[in-house]
Amino acid sequence: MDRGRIHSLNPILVIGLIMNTMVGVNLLGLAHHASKMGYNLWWSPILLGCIVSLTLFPMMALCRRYPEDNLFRIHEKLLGKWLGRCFNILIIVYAILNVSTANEGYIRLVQTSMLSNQTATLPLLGLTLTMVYITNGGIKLIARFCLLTFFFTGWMVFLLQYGFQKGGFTHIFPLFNTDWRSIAETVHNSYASMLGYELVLFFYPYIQEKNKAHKHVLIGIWIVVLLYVMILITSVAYFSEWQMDNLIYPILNLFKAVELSFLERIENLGIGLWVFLILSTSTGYLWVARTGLEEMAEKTRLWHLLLPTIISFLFIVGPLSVEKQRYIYDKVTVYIAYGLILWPIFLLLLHSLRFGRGERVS
Amino acid sequence: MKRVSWFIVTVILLLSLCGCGGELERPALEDMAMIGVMGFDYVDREKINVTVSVPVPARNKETTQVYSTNASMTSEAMLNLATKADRTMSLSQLRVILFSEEYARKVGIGKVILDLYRNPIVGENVYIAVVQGKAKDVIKGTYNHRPEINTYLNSLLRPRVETAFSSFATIHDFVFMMTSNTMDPNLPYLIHVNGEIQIFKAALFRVDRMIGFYSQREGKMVQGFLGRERLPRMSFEFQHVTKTGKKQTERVVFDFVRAKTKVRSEGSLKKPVIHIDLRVRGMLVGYSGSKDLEKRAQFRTLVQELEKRIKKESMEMLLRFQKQGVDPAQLEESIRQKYHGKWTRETGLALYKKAKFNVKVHVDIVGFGTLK
Amino acid sequence: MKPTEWWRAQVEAIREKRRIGSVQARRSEQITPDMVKQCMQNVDDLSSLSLKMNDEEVHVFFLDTLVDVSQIYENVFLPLQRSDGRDPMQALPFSQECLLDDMETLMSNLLRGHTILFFLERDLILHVNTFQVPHRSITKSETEATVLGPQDSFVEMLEINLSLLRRRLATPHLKVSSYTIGTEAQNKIAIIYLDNIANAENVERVKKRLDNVIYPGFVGMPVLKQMLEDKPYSPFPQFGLTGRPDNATAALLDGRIVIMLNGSPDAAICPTSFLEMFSSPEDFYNRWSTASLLRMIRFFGLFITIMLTSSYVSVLTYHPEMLPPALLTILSESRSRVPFPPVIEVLIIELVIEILREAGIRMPTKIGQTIGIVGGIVIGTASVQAGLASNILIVLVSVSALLSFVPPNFLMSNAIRLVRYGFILMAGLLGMYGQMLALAFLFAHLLNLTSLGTPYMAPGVPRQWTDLMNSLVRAPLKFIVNRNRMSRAKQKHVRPVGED
Repeated sequence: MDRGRIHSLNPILVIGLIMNTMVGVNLLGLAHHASKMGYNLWWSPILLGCIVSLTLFPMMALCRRYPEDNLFRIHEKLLGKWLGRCFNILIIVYAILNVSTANEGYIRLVQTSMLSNQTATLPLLGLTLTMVYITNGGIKLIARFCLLTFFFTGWMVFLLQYGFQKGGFTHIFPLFNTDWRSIAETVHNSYASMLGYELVLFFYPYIQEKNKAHKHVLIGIWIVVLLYVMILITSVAYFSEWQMDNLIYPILNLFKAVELSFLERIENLGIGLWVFLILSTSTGYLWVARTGLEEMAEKTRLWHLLLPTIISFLFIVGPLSVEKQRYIYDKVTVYIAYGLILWPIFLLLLHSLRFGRGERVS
Repeated sequence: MKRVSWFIVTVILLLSLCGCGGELERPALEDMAMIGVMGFDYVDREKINVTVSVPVPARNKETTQVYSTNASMTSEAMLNLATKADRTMSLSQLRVILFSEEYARKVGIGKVILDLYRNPIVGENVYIAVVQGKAKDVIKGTYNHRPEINTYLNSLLRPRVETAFSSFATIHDFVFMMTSNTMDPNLPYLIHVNGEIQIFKAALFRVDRMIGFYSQREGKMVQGFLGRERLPRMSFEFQHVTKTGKKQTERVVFDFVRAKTKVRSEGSLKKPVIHIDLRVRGMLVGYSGSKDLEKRAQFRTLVQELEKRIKKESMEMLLRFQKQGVDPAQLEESIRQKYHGKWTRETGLALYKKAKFNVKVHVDIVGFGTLK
Repeated sequence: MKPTEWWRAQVEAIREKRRIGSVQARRSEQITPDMVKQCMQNVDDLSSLSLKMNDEEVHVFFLDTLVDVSQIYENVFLPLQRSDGRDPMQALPFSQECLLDDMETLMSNLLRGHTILFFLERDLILHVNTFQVPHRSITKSETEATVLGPQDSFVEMLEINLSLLRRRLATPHLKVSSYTIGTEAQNKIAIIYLDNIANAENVERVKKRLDNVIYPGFVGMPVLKQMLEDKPYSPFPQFGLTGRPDNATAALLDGRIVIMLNGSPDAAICPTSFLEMFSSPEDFYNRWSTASLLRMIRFFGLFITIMLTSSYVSVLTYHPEMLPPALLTILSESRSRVPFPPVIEVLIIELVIEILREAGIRMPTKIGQTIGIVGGIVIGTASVQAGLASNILIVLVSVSALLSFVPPNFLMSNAIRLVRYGFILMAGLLGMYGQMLALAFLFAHLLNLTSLGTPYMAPGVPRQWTDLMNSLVRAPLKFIVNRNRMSRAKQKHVRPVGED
């Protein structure tokens, strides 16, 4: 629908978009990734939130200087056409990798927990088709879908009470029984669960209230942090340190703790509903890949959408072995993400060298 | 040309959907043998005997199929059993796991439990219990006027206030207790007599090996220290000598409405002191004695006697546990909360053995029936 | 010439004609009665009379299927006779003069039941509206029946329908712009709106869409509605459709646009939203608490109806662990003799229900009920007895069939029933995950829909917080102070804010 540069994202949609691109497949294993900190891991999201908020400043500063351009165009303007396009291709690759990361992680979980004797192809095909359909609707549809996802999956927070009641709240003590080394490792391991906010570099041109955009993005980020803290406190209460270290999907086990009289094993429902969270993440990245291709080709075609989709699909079901895939998802993607998050600082420097310090309206 | 190509693409897509036909023909509920109870018995150090019971759906009459095999691992046993059954074996409805005492004492139940814990098909709310004798006999036994064995065991082991003297450990609970580094696991201990199954005692474990028992009465207090709010009823007996010199026995049955325990530790790590503050509120459901409960002074005396008795009994129990070096009541947790540095079970036990206990009991009687 | 080129040429011709308008249409030579007869060859219901009236020859044409002859006599012939040769325009005050060379207008008037009078000596052609046909009386609404409130419903005549609306809205702001569409049938339609409330852009949008419609003729409003809607391929109706004047009035007062077609007893309302498909005019006749409860039942009924039978499939096929022990025993007992996999079983029973429903519509009412009961009870019980289906499934299918009739909008309930099959198939393929995937797809589709350019899922995706007062709940009237944001009304408030 809304093609072209229409300012279609109102504040609520911005908050929803930020929240749901952040929450995704990595939340499933958050307690596991952060387990280096032992029982202290519950406050690690606050630390992550602070880092995210800090790295957001250069991003927003860059966006304010180019209010009508996404990162692809900024590249071409600042670095010149040739060099800019090289970086654009890298970003497109990063976006496609992120789509694959989200889809692969989720499909593997579905395969192990819900569809135990089935190949991954059919579930993945369904997921991919739905993803394409949503992305084809443009950023506004993605944002609306994110908002709906928030309402549709948000109630699951109430299921945490089952785990919380069974466990012991006192596990969070002593509060700071950890060392810098494990904190650093935890931050590195669980930073992937905060990724998604860098998409603001790409959808900033569509935001309606640009002067308040920074605040809205921050609200989204800290709601996510709050959510993570709630989930991790429940994990701390419910699990022993050994369990957090050894369970790959602690969320799955938290779902299993729910006991309802009319329905058992609610994790089937919960993991099924998780597809909303996965879709809201992967569509965001797929949209970035599509926008990148469009900017490079300077026109809108359907294959700009289909090409990244097919690549990400083949990446998962193709000949690449699972270990290599995991290496790429867990290491390569995250390192590119670090680069992308710090990249605006460099771009800002370049901007100030080329155009002076003032804010420029292009 | 364009139309023709679209047509071909559509036909190919539709044809490829036929591949999904196989998915629609999966075995459904009635083709699966839903294992309800699994029993593990000791054969030798390597081998276990696995017995499973499967309810057979039929109108009016419930029957049970029981299969048994020897294997070294649960998954291997499942393979063997699958060749014996007429339907596909599935662990998705597993409700109860039984271990024979011999197996729990000699080998330890950790390996089996973790094997099942790994399996995503198995739920978390599967109850574990230890049986006297062989688990196979319990599963194969016939019980008078009882529903079939799967339902019977499941409802017997479901947590109820009356039997809350042992931790009703599900798989998750047991793994938690085993790996928490602050306590020794305990499980319900079943005996099988005269065509009935009874939860008799609580079995005590060190990591995953059974090392002993404790009684129902001790179990109730352990559960109180663990923080359970609804405790089973307890009876107390007081010996009095009346003014006339006659010996008199006063019996009190106390029903806990709500118990609240605070455990905190104090003092240096060299000399830890564990304060236990037990506040119980309850009703007298049975009373035989000469006190006039409406009289404030006499009522007060009764309360004080109760407090003193609970304190005495729990102190005795705790000292015995401390001497044995076991901690089913998770008292080490209170020390861990103040311990900085790497916490292991050994540090915990060492500190626990050194600790002093300070028990405070506060009893609040909210009612004593409609008779004065 | 290729067919597409021919078609394009046709369309161009029609557009051209519309642009010029009938006034400037090809002028022919002066019309004579013979030309009219020539035009209406083989039209047997044409009455052509040649009368001598006050020594003047008058040719009279009318279609006797569209007029009442006695009325013509009373209202046309008698006044003319009494006029004694004075100006016929004065004798017939309701007559209008026809242009002498505009054959097209003349024919269209004739075909609408006007009487054409040729005064050859005076070079005058008059037409008088003598349209009078038998019509259905105003009855109760069948599809949107309510217990309380007004009971009248639209009929097949546009004039009567407009009168039903006028009676309710006595304001000069109620605008009715009439159009003629349908290249052959020349259907009359009316766009109705309150010009002080309705958004002008929306009105323009509707008019523009109507201009683009090229179709031989419309037999009912639902056909035209499909052509005006934003996404014609979607199974969901994007314009409201109602047969009740009170519903249409409420929509007008909220700033919506109502489109009506002559010959069709329903009105299209645009823009509308998904949630509005679940509200009935009765919500405002009931107390707010009852209305809110009923609305929530209708809305959650939607989810239950698409989830119930598909969950049966996925639980039985993929997730038997989700059943509590008691339910497991019952289910496996009743399934033990069924020879089909759950998907096939569900599809068979669902289809049987659909067939019963479809047969029930066709059957005469007197035997229809009997057959319905016989079909429902006998087939249901017998198939369970024979072991063809499990009795739990029969319960689930009946509940979901009942729930699918709960939405007051018939098209919506049809759409939901269709969507349900998708869910059942997905559940058969991928279990609970498939269901959730289908749900995500469904929501994405609904979010993508628009109704006259406004989001279909409003206020699910909020545009204004006060919209929530009249969405899933129907708040007390005191709280409903703003018009729905969706209609983008010129007057935002329903009543002065800050007063009681």
